[in-house]
Amino acid sequence: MSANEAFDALVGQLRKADDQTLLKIVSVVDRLAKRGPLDKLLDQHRLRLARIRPPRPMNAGRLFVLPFEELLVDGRAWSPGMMRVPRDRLSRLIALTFEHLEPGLESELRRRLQGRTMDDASLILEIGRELWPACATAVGEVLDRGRQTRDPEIRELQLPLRIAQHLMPVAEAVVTTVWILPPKPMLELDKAAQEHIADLLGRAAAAGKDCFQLVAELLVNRSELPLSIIEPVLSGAFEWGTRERQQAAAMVAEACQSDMLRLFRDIAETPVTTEPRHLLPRLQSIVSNLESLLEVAAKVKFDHRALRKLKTETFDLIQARLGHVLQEQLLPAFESLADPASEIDWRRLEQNAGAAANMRLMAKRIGLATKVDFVFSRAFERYRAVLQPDDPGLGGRAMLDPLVMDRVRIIELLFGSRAAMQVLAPFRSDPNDQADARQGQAKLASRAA
Amino acid sequence: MPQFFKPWMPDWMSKDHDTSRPFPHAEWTVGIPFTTPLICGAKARLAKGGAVELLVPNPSGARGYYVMDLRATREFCQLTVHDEVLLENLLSMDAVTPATVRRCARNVAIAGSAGRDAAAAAKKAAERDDGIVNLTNYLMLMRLLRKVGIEGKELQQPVGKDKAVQNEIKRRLVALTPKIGLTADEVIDTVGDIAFYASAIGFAGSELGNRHPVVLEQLRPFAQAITRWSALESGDNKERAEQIAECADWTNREVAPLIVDCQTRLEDITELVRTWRGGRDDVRERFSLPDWLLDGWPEIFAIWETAAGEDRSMQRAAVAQIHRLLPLAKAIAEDGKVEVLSIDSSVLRSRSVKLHEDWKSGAMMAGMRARAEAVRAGVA
Repeated sequence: MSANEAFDALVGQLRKADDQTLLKIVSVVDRLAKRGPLDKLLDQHRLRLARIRPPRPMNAGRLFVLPFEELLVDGRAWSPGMMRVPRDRLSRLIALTFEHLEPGLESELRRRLQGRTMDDASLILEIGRELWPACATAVGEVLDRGRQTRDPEIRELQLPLRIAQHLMPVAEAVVTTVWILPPKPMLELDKAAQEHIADLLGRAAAAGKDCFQLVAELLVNRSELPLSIIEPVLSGAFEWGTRERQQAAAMVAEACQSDMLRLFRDIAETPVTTEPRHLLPRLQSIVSNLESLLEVAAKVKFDHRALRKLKTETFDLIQARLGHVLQEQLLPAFESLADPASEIDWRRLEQNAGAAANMRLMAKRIGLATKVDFVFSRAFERYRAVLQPDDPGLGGRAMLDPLVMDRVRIIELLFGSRAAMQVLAPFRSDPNDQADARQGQAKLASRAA
Repeated sequence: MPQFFKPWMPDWMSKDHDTSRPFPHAEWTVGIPFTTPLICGAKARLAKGGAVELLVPNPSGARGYYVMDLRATREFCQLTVHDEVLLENLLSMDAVTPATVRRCARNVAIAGSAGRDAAAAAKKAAERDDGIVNLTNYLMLMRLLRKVGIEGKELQQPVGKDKAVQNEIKRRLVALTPKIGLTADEVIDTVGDIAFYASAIGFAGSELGNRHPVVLEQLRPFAQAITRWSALESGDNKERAEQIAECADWTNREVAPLIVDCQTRLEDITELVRTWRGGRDDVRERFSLPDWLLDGWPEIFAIWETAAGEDRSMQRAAVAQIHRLLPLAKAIAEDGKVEVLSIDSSVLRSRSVKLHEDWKSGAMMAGMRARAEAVRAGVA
């Protein structure tokens, strides 16, 4: 078996693996000195791994990365100049840094970390207090070496190295703040979390502008509500004047804007056939950020015109995608649901219907509601026409069959329960009640129109 | 297993039952598995005059319940299709008990209104419960026959049709007539009636997986897990978790002796049949009381189990959801009442959470509904 074949076999096995098997594979990969493509392979399972929570063994490399873990990105998504750290270069980044650590420190840490896992919060902080300052110095030396030798590898990794260097002085504050924050994407924050953020920003501000910018970047990357970061910047208890605060807040707002633009371009480039469930998280992030930035527009100076333009473009994009999703993607699948022999993935269909309904709500928030409602009311007519009882005379409560209910659920997810009940009525009521149902449908149709 | 024991519905659940008789547990409430987020965790209770009231937990998450006539639920909020059909089914029932609500909810789920997963789970659960009723019925008859010196093995000798076994059982039961003053047919009918209630409890040491002992067994570990979890919490979350653990412990303390008592009675079937013929209400109440006290706990266990693999913030949300679903039996037993909030017209009109209007709450509601349906699928 060639290496490629073995790799493909492993990809297949991982896809089918149950939780326990996946955890075993991760523990083997974790023990390897060179992970290379295996890391990339695990990327596809990170969501699942996060859920089943493998107890990751603690090692010095992992501790070094912890403060900027939030800024890690997939290697394919990274480009030089990006304020992120590519996951596939981490091993090199760690190796370069550890080459410049005090002799003996790494082996001493390895001994102390033997058999310990990343669940041990107090040990992380205890070792981190020794390791992070040492790493800050080491990374500085690597960067100096890069400047002197013009080493192409160091030049390519310059930005990730700088990220590490600037975050090391506030490493403990970053790590403990991230522990207390809600999972990504963060929305509303409670008081304790807001206080932690203000404290972290204060420390970052004291450590210098670059550090502050990175911490803000890290928080923005985690949040869908820039307001929760801008507010502590404007009123947090650290020694900054109004002008500096305004500048910092504007910087956060601009970071959000560029993040939104990147997401928007991402979506715009996806084929029109992309399922709405795959578009939803990115769209949610854009709309949430738009909403939040519009709220602070009066307080913070940033490019308001660009924001309004993005808002209009996002609305147009959602509206266009919804038209396609409703008519070309969901409707054919909806029709096929009636055929017991068809192999429609009903779960995926329901997820997509739910996502389309969410996109409708988002569009209404950032644009003209009647426009989106019109797309839906026009689609509703077509969906309703598909779901008509074959023989209205056979209506009756006992006649309800799961194939009808499957489609009623899709209508409910897309158009709401009132519409679904109207569609369901002819299937359930006695023949004598059908006139009422028809009357109801006519009312609904006129309301939708 | 013989197939002739059909699932049976007690007469007080039927339409022609004498409704003037006061309902034995008028003070108790039963959880209704609605999927509409605004009324998720609602409970029903019998009100004066035979009407059924719905107790809806304060949607803000604060203390207290809104109380309304079950028929007025549609006025309170827009229901999901599942809840519309469930409500219709419930309104057509003469009695709202954990058993009738379970039956309605299963029928609605089987029709597919909560999704295919919930439909499959409900079908499986209904078949499992019917199987346990039939098996309990059969085992009770076997015990009776053993009283007159006939072993079950003997009955299985003439391997043949169910009808033949049934006739053989009847023939042998005639021997009991002088002892309890009932014909064989009457004994079979009575045992069938009792089995309907007894199946959820089962014989002591039974390995059938009877509903109540299984739920009871999970209460203590659940309370311990919640108590351990609450150790790292503070404020509202801690308070909620403590209340949940206390309620689980209280339920465990109350139900354990009730189940032991019922299982002791099941040891002497002859006496049980005699007592039933003398006055069935006492037996019925004894055997159905655990059902009231354990109502809602399987859903709670399912939510906690799902949250076990999540991070702490998700677990906090699960604890809040569990708190909302918490059975009211303890509160009613200790305080004699639940805190009732008054519904003024603004509650009906203002709709503090604008369902499907504001994009964030709309999306959140869709998520809550999906979670409620997942619970339905997990606990049919």
